[in-house]
Amino acid sequence: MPLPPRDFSRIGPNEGEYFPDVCLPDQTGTPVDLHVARAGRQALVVFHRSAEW
Amino acid sequence: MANNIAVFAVSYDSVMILREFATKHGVRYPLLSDEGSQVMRSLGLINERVQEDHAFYGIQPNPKHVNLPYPGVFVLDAAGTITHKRFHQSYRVRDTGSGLIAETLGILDGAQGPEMAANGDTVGLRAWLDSATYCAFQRLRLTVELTIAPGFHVYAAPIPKGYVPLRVEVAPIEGLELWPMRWPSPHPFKVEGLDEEFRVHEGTVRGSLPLAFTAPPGAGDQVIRVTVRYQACSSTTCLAPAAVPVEIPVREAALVGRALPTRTSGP
Repeated sequence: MPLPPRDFSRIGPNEGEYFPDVCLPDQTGTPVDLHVARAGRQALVVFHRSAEW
Repeated sequence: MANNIAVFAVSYDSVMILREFATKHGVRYPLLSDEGSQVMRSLGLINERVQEDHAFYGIQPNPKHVNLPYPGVFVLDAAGTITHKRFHQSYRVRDTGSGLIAETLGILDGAQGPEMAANGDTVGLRAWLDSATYCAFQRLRLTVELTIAPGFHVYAAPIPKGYVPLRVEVAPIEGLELWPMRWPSPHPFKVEGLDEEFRVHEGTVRGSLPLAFTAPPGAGDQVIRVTVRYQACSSTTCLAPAAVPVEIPVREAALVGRALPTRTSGP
């Protein structure tokens, strides 16, 4: 029997909302402010498990 | 990747791990380090049920499996507003980059994989995948495009009995999972002298079918065998129902950084 399905529309911020401000270091250690780095472009923001395993 | 789209990937890895990964795989877009997962937690993306789910599937507890996000993608418009989000139940399911961009941003719509055509006089047919390769559980997108001669239409479902609606059948392959085919909305059509109401497509019609191969890696290259059924009519005449076969090959690719297992059987 598979796990019961979840309502994935309720995970994280909703469609229609401004994506929250995020500032995190990139692979060079340089802080990246997501909306500043977007520079007015459309964007894909991907969340994934780990680059290590 | 189109130049006017920014891409960011976020994980709980340290900068050092991300640097190694980026160097090894030639990644040029920002890999953001949310070590400790605080940002992902504040966004509400942490899967608190990983251990529970893993126990369900018989996976041993692992200290690396805490503070993991649900895997998924947000698509932002130029103003920074979320226009789409894609989260999947299984961490193994993921969209192809081109499929995601084509569906959510409406660009990069061309065939990335081999394209097959079958041209009749009245209806031309093309079919293609958004990728020439697949990885296990990756969600590909099959596009089927009909070009219908002026004055003709094909019927859409639902339809009165005795008529053939536009339909795409895919021959079963072990592990091949199909999602519902999506067509543009047909428009109502009345045939003079008949009470029945029809819904039809005219001109160029493009349908999209998401699919994934869910067999374990090593299943090998595949051929997707598609049959497109339709009946083309004008206001005065109907052609015989057509069933047009199209075969689309797709090669298996290894997951990034991993070799495919040696094949014991298959093509």
